[in-house]
Parts: sequence; structure tokens; C-alpha cells
Amino acid sequence: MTDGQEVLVRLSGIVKRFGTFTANDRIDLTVRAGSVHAVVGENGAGKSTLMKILSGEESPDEGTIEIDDSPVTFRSPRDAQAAGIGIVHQHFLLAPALRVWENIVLADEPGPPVLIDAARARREVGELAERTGFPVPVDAETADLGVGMRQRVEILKVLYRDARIIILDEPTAVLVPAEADALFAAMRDFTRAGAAVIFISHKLDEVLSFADDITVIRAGRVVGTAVPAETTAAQLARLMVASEMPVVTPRESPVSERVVLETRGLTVAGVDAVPPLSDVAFRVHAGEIVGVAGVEGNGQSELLAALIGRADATGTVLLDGDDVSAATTVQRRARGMGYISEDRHRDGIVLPLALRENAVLGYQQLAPVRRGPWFSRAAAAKAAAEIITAFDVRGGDPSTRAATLSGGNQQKFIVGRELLRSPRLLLAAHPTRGVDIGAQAAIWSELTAARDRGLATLLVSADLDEILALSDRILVLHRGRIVAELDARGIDAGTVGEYMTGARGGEEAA
Amino acid sequence: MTAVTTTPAASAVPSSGRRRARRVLSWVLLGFGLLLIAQWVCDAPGLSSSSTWGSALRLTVPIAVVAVGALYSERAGVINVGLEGMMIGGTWGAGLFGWFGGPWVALIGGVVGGLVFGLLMAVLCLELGLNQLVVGVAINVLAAALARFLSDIVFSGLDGGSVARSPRIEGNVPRVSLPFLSGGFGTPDPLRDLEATGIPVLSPLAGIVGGLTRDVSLAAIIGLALIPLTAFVLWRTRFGLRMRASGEEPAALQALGGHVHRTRYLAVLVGSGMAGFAGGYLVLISQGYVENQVAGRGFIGLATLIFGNWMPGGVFAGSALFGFSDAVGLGRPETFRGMLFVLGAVFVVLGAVRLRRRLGVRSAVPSLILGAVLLVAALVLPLPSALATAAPYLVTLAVLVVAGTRMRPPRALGRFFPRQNSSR
Amino acid sequence: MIARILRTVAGPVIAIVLALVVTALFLTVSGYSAASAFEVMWTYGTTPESLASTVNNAIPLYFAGIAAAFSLRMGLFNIGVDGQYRVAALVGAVVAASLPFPLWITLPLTLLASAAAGAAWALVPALLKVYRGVNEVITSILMNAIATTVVAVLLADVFRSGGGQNTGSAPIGENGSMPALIDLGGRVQISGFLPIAVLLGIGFFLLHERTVWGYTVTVANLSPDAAESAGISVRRRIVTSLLASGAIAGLVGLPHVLGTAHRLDGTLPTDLMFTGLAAALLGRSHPIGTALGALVLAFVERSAQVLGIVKLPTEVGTLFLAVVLLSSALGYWVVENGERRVALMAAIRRTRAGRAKEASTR
Repeated sequence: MTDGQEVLVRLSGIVKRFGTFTANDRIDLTVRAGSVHAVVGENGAGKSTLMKILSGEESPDEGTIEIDDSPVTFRSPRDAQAAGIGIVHQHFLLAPALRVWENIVLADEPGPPVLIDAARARREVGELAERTGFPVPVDAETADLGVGMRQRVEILKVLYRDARIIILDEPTAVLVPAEADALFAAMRDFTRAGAAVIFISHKLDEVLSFADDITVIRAGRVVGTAVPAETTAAQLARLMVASEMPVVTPRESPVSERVVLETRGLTVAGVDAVPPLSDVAFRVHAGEIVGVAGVEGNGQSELLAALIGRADATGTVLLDGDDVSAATTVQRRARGMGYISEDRHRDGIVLPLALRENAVLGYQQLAPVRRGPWFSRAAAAKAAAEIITAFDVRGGDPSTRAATLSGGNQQKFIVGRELLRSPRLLLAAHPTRGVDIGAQAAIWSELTAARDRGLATLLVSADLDEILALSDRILVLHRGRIVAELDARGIDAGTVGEYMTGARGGEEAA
Repeated sequence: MTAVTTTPAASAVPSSGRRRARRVLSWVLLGFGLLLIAQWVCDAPGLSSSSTWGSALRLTVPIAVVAVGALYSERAGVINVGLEGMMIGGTWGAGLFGWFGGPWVALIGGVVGGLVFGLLMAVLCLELGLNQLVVGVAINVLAAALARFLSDIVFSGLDGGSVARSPRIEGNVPRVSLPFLSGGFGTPDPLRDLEATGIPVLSPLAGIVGGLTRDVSLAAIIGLALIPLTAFVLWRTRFGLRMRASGEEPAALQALGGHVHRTRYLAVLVGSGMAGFAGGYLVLISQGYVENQVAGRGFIGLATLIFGNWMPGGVFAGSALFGFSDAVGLGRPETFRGMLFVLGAVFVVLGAVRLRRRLGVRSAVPSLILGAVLLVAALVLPLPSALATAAPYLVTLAVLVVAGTRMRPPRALGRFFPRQNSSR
Repeated sequence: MIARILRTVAGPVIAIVLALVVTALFLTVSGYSAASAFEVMWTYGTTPESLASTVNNAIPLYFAGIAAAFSLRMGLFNIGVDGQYRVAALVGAVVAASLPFPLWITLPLTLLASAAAGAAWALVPALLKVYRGVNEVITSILMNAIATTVVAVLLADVFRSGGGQNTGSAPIGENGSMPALIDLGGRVQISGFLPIAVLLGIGFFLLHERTVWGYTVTVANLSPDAAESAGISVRRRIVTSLLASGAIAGLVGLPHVLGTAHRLDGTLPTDLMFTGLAAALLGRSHPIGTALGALVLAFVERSAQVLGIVKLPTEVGTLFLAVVLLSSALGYWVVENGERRVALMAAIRRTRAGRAKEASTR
């Protein structure tokens, strides 16, 4: 623990239960003024709950919170705000139809009792933005802003209320290395003025670079504290999961010559001058994993939509030599295109339905599930059972509702559903997002095993580690174009990051 | 007033107030010109007569008020299909209060009647989280049943009352006119004289202005004033901002310490009070509660809200369009033709503009076709008189088809937001 | 098994009980005796003529309920049933009266024509929703209003038949009217529409629960995005569901037109949409549940008719309906909350038992 500074925040013996599930089990956390404190742990370890308690959104069942050595009780987020605590959520809580300044001053509007002094609000927000180094278009409609800008608005919300303790929940999930650096630099400025910054992350390299102190949480308990200078990522990971990080076995079989997927001039027009996807051409061979790297929002969603048949795209798409550019989604899937979607809750799985119904999602028009006009529940149940057994899906049987499974098991189910159909091509988007390390390892090994069996995979992911670990070749998407095609062996994250932000680009594109 | 609906941009902040005023003025002048042409082509003096415009104003008010009431509720995120029932409650309350207190008290009774059902809706939807559509429908049926039930008990025994009527309300809310222009406060009425002269441009102008300003009930003025008041509330007050936040992203408001529930409660209550006021207005027109006098206006109000894209200005345009069509429908057949002509011309022009701006054939063609059809109908086809009674609905539908709306409902509309500190 | 039945029935039962309680409350507060009112209603309602009438009246409610359920399955509220069945009733009346063919040709044709008319009236909101993004609630409301006017106009001018006070369409002869299914003499007759209703219910069940189409509708309703990625066209499902709902709505007015009045006139009931919706909500959009709901509501409506004779307010029937609508939603809330509580208790008990076992083995 860094010495020489007073303790600003002390959480002691925090316990929080939800029904029979204990999210926080006697957690202690000490944060000193002027320091950056990282809280790390897997998904579901209890980090978010702890932060919600600190920010006043939840109240602990047991334990105390002390700010500046005096105990406090928060009955609502407002009490926490009054104590100088502000939280920047991972999923921004912004109203898109409101303007930037409205989102920032909401519930603390300047002016006389009933009215809002709009001019004063705009002015104050503008000055704050300049002063703290987070310039934003004060009058813009929040819906028009990009992700990085929206995060600034979230941060300004916290700063507007004079926060001395700033909590960041997975702040760099949507940022690129350079933006993340800028964010942490700004945070350093705050700590120099005596504030404390607590950030939640599971990106261990980031934690080691930017934090002063680290607390590791696993299954609701604190399993260790560390100082970056005295620890390594591997040690932290071991604390987090009590198991090893997933290691990808080096590939044994070479990439085949057969081209399974080829695109030429694939373009998706949009409403803006710059089309979301522009003139994309690449090939994926059998037995190969091609990774698509890029900051979210640079055309990945459009690329996937164009390939699966859900977008208004021009250009050619060839599947094993057949032109499927005009084929519908059903036809493409019937021809052997598997799809793991980016957001499983949105279009990968239907939560209220049972696993039996989810097992045939996308394949409902094919035998044996379809018999004439009739839907064979027996065949669907059988398919579900196969997936559950083959892919170690825990938490239920074919008649269990998908919603009761954990995120990791849901994802394993989806991966199983697609892989068991022996597709020719697999479109995998963020296949291990929000999934615990155990499931991640299982999914990675399934993907590589399928690859070794000859499956062609297009892997789209915002997790650079995943791309680097699994891909044979890496394409980088920036502003809807492919700006680089790189050999995965020997490439480092920094170089890819430069292409991703456009700092480098164009010269090395294939 | 013909509503030329180029979908109003959702620019709430009047940063270019003067520019907007100038734009509105030019549209008004254009509309007036079009009206004159239509009047001449179809030989329809009714298009600009003071009787038409006076009726239009009277018919606009209840729709406008109930639609604005719906705006509060829906902007805060609560779907309100129970407006019909709230209006019915308003009419019954107004009938009761008006019987023993007179016209002004009747209006208060209307508000109270609406509030009763508003409270019911708030409790069921916000506290218990019941399906808002179901609750709305249920309130409609409940209000109608209760109105009849209670009339049987209360009004039947009274002098002049029955199961379908309340006793007559004596007197009415005072009416005003513009002094020195339309005969207000005993001054001369030059507009009426001007209208009667038949001078080409001035006479129709006098008819329109006179119709809109002569013998206007104070209740109507209050009702219409609610619209700019609502715009002010929405964008200049704390309550308005929090209401909009509740309807877009209630989680954001709650995380910042705002009270989503309290805001929604208030919004629903205010909205239901306004719906009740609209019912009270109807009662003043009929001098008492009459069974079934609401006649679907609550639904039309909801339709107007959606038509107006959840904006006060849009609501005004929609209800004015509806009121005017209604007034025309009740008038002479030539007036109806004239209105069809105006609409047809507007649609054709809109279609041409869209084609020229290359906004795509799909958005231009329906407009052109519909416009052409309307022009032909106005000029050539024989029209059954009863078509005019369906006029307001047809007109609204036509405008909806053409506008091809880019709807912007409040994002969190209809979604239940649990109370704070609810453990999983 | 028993638990499942109980759970399914609990919601509607609670709803009905609540409605009874509230209605009783209103009656007592207004100075009437609720007990005697209910007794009179029950005695009247259980006579053979009343029971037969209940069944016959339940049939159009069932049609309306299934029409509502059809669109509810797709997450849509077909609030245009009102206009759809009016227009279809007119079409059916005219077709039945004008066709010169024998019954076994005329009748199916009439049904088809009415269904087509209902579907056609639902086409406008459906297309506007899918191609222009216009909210189907307002377009349906507008179409309802237009339907009322159009039907009234057509009835008064074009299709008017017979003079006097009762404006109506031409009378439908033997070759067009629906014969009784069972005729026990007196006034005890069961409408021939009953088998049609039964077939409809069976068809609805099979379609939604056992076909691939039904599966795609379920997915499209629960998650439009997942449906699209799975190759299911949500747009097409929306249009088909609304059209089918409209087609079924088209049948709603026929029992009255073809069986009771033998023409379309002012006696056509005007509140069938809401009552049908209440039946569907009571029955949770399930074909059998909706049937039971329709029977209950028809029973109440029929038995309330006697109240006028004994100087009690007849509005009891409508009041009951209104409260049933509200309480059917409430009933499910109670049941769901109850379920959650029961599940929580069970989970707590299990953990305690587990801990106790742990402690005892240590």
C-alpha cells in the first residue's frame, strides 16, 4: 500500500446479499487520497456491486463506509454525491434525446426554484469541460455523439458535482489504446489535486500500468491486494481465477488453399457522407481464423450484417465459390453460414424461451425440426441435448429457460449450436464478451478445434488479446475500410492499435 | 389552418426565435394564398367564413387539450390509452359540480373527474407495474360503466336529470371578442362588416380573423393557452427536464438522485387533469353532462399526440387540422371540396419537392398520387355528403401517409421502471 | 401437474373474484343489496334459455377474443377490431342477402367474404406500420372512426332496405342464415356457429404451438433482432398477424347478422371488441382460456339483464366487465409475485437445509 497519504475512503466488512446469493462477503477496501486504486476480478465477482454500494445505488446489509475517517450512510445516490463520490458507469446512463448540457445538469439544474437557467447551465458546463480537458459540444443532441464523446459526458456529469472520489467502471472497454492513455492522464491530474480514483477493470496490463494499488476480488471476497511494482499479470490472474489464463495451443495443420469466403467491393451505404462500410475485400480460407480488429463503431456491425444478409449492401459475397450476394439470411444459413452474434441477448438467444427452442434458432426451416408445416419439438429437444452434452453447458436441460443460465453458459450454448451444424463458414462476433475465464477457455478451444477440422472463421472482436491469440491473419477496420492486413505471428498490440485509430494506415493494406 | 407538415425538426431550444417566427409567417401567408385560390376555384366561400373558423376553433379545443394531457403522461414514459375514460370522468364530474356550482365550478369538476382516473392509472401502472395498455383500456370501460351507474343513482333523482343526462347547467363561462375588431366589450365589429362586403382578399381575411376572435369562450382560451404553457414547462422548467429524462432514460435520472416515480406520478396526474378539463369544456358546450358526449375524442387526442410527434407544436397542428376538417365537414359540400383542393395541392407540391430533392421515389410517390386523387375528387367527382362527416379522420390519415413520419416516441415509453433499491 | 393447473387457473379466478367483490362494493355503497342482486342474477342466468343464450353470445366474444389473441401473440394490439367487424358485418349481410345459391354454398361464401373484408380493413394500419413506420394504434383508431361513418352511410343510402324506423340491410332468407345446431324448442337453441368457433380455437392452437410458423411468430415477438438474424422476416409476421386478426374479427358480427337479426341494422352490439379483449386477457391468449373467459363474460351480461326488472341498475354487467379487465391484469401480478415469493422461500429452505447438513457432517 502506498504510504504517506491519508485514507480517503475506507470500506470495512461490506456484506451484500441478493436473495440467497452473496455478492459481497465481508469486503474491505482502503483508498488513499491522491491515488489510483484498481479493483480487479472476473465477471460476477462482485466488483460492480461493491461500487454500487459506494456510490449509493445499493445499501450494504452489513459493514461500514468511512469517508475522511467519519462513517457515512448513503440512503440514495444523492447522499453519495454530496459526500463527493461520483461513478462513471460502464453502460452510460445518458438520455439520447436530451442535449449534452441537459444530461449533465439533470437533477441539479442551476436557477430559481421552478425554472432552469439554461444560459448559466450551458456556460458552466462549457467552462468545466475546458478546464478539466474534456471538451464536448455543449448543445449537441447526445444521440449524435460517438462513444468516446459520450464517455466524456458521463465523466463531466461526475465532475459537475465536484466529485473527489471518482469511480470508473470498465472505462476503457470502448476506447482504443491512445484514448485510454489520455483518460488515465486526465485521471492523474485529478489525483494530483488530492482526489482518489477507483477503477474497475479486467484488463490486467492496463491495471499494472496505471494503478497505484490493486485489490483482487473473487467470488465476493477480497483474495489479495498488490502494488503494481511488485506483481505480474500472471500472478494477478491466478488470484482472480485460481486457474491459469487460457493458452491457445499452437496450430498443427496448415491453412488450406480452398477459399471459403470471399468478398469484393462490399459496401454499405448510410445516411452520412462517409459510408459505414466501404469497398471491403478479403478472403477466408478453410482451416483459418481471420481476425477483424477495430474500435467498435468502425464498420464491424455493418460488415457482419452484410455477410449474414441483414444489411442493404452492394458488392459481391462468395461462399465456397457460390455467389450469395442476393441470398436471404435463411438461404445463407442453410448453405452453411454459422453466426455467433455480437450481442447474445439481442440476437443470439431468446431469453424467455427454453433451450429446446433456442437450439434451432436460425435452423427452424430445416429438417429434422421441420416436418412439412409442423415443428417437431422432439427433434428440437434432441438438438438441445446434444449441444448441452458436447459443450458442457451447465445450468439446465432442454426445457430450461435460457434466461436462467449464466452468461458464460449461454454463450457456450450458442457456440455449440453453431458449431454442431458443421458450418463451412463461421462468423463469430465477440464470442467471449462478458464471459468468465473458464467459459472463455472452453470456447477458445472449441474454436481452434473446429479450425483444425477445416472450418473457416471470421472473428470480429474488440478484445485485442482474443484477436491476437486466435487469429492467423488480422484485418483492421477503420472508418469502414480495411486499412491493414497483418500476419498474426509476431505482431504486437501497439501496432494493431495504431492502425485501429488511424495513426497508421494504408501503406501496409494487402 | 391548413397544416403543412414538413415534419417539425425536434429543435426544442428557440435559438433562432426570430428566424422561426419569420418562417411560420411565410407558411401562414402561403396557406392563406392557397385558401384564396381554392375558394375561387371551387366556389366555396365557406373556406374562409367566420362561421367555419369559429366552429373550427371550438372543435379544436377539446382535442388539443386532451392531446396535451396525453403529452405529459407519454413524455414521462407512461402510455395512456385511457384518455377516453378520463374525459368521460371529466364530463361526469363537470356535470355534477356544475349542477350546484355553475359553469366555472363545472370546469373544476371536470379536472377532478379526470384526476380520479388519473390516480387510478398511476397507482396501477406505477406502483403495481401492470400493463399500461390493459389498464388504459380498462379505465375506458370502467369510466363509461361508472358514468352510467352513478348517473342512475345521482342524476335520475334530480330535476332535469336522467340516467343519460345531468341537470342543465345554468349560465356559461363568459365569451370575449377582440375590442374594436370583432365587437368585444360593446365596441363596433368592423371585421364582420368587412367580411360581408365581399372584397377579394380582405373579406376572406376578415372572415378568418373574425371567426377566430369573435365570441371566444374563456374556457377555450385557457385550454389553448395550455399548449404554449406546456412547451415552456417541457424545456424551461426542472419538472419538464426530469419528465423528459423519465421518458428517455429513467435510469439516468435515478442515478443522479432524481425521483422517477414521483415525476411520472405527477405527469400522469397533470395529464389526466387536462383530459378532465377537456371533458368539462364539452359539458359547457352542451350545458350539461350527456351520455356518450365524448364520442371517441379521447382516442383522437391520443392519435393527435402521435401525429404531432409528441411535441406541443405538432399537437397544435394536428388538433387544428382535425378541428378545421370537422368544421368543414359539418358545413356545406363546396367547403369540403375546397379543403380537398387545398390538401391535394399541398400534397402534390410536397411530392414534387421531394422528387426534386432526390429524397427517393418511395417518399414522393404516395404524396403525388394522393395529391392528384384529392385534386380530382375536389374538382370533378361527386361526393356523398356523408363522406364529409368522416373528413377529419380521412384527412389525418392522409397526412400520416404522406408525412411518412419519422416518429420519435419517448425511448422509455411503456417500459416499467422498478422502484429504487429493489433487490434482485 | 396439479400445481401447474392451479397456477394457470389462479390468475383468472382471482380476477373474477376481485370483480365480484368490487361490484358488490359498489352495489352496497349505492344502497342496494349485493347478495340479492347476485342471487337474482344467478337464478335467471341458469335457466335453460339463459344458458343457451350465454353460449350463443359467447361465440362472437370468442371470435373477438381470438382476433385479439392473434395479434397479441405478435405483441401487437389490434385496436381496430371494432371497425373491422362492422365493415365485415355489412359485407356479410349484403352477400348473404343477395346470393341466390343454396345454403351450403352461400354460407361459406359469406364467411369468406366477411373474413376478407375484415382483413382488408386491417390492411391499412398494417401496411402503414410496416412501410411508413406509422404507429398502428392511431391508424386503427382512425379506421374505426371511418368504419362507423362509412357503414352508417352505406346502410342509410346504398344498402338500405325496408322503410320505417329501423334502418337496415335487406333481410337474409333461409338460404343465407345460419341454422341452429341444436334446437330444443322453446327458446333454447344453440347457434350453428359453435362448431366454427371450436374449429377456430383448434386451428389457433395448432398454428401457434405446433407449426414452424408459430415458432417464428413466438421468436419474432420475443426478440425481433434474434428473429431477423435467424432469417425470420418480422415485417411479414406483423402484416400476416394483423391481417389474420382482422379476418377473424370479420366473423365477430356474423352470429348476430346471420342468426339473430337476419340483417344488419342498429341492433348490432357495439362493444364486442372490448369484451372480446377482456376474454382474451382473462384466458391469457390461450384458446381454451379465452373460451372460458368468453363464457363467463357472456353469462354475466345475460344474467344482468334481469336486474332492470327488479329495479336494480343494469350497469352491473358493464361494471363487472370493466373490473374484470382491470383485475385480470392484477390477478397475474398477484400470481407472479406469489410465485416469486414461493420460489424464494423454497430456495432459502434449500440453502438452510444444505448448511445444516454441512454443519452436521463436520
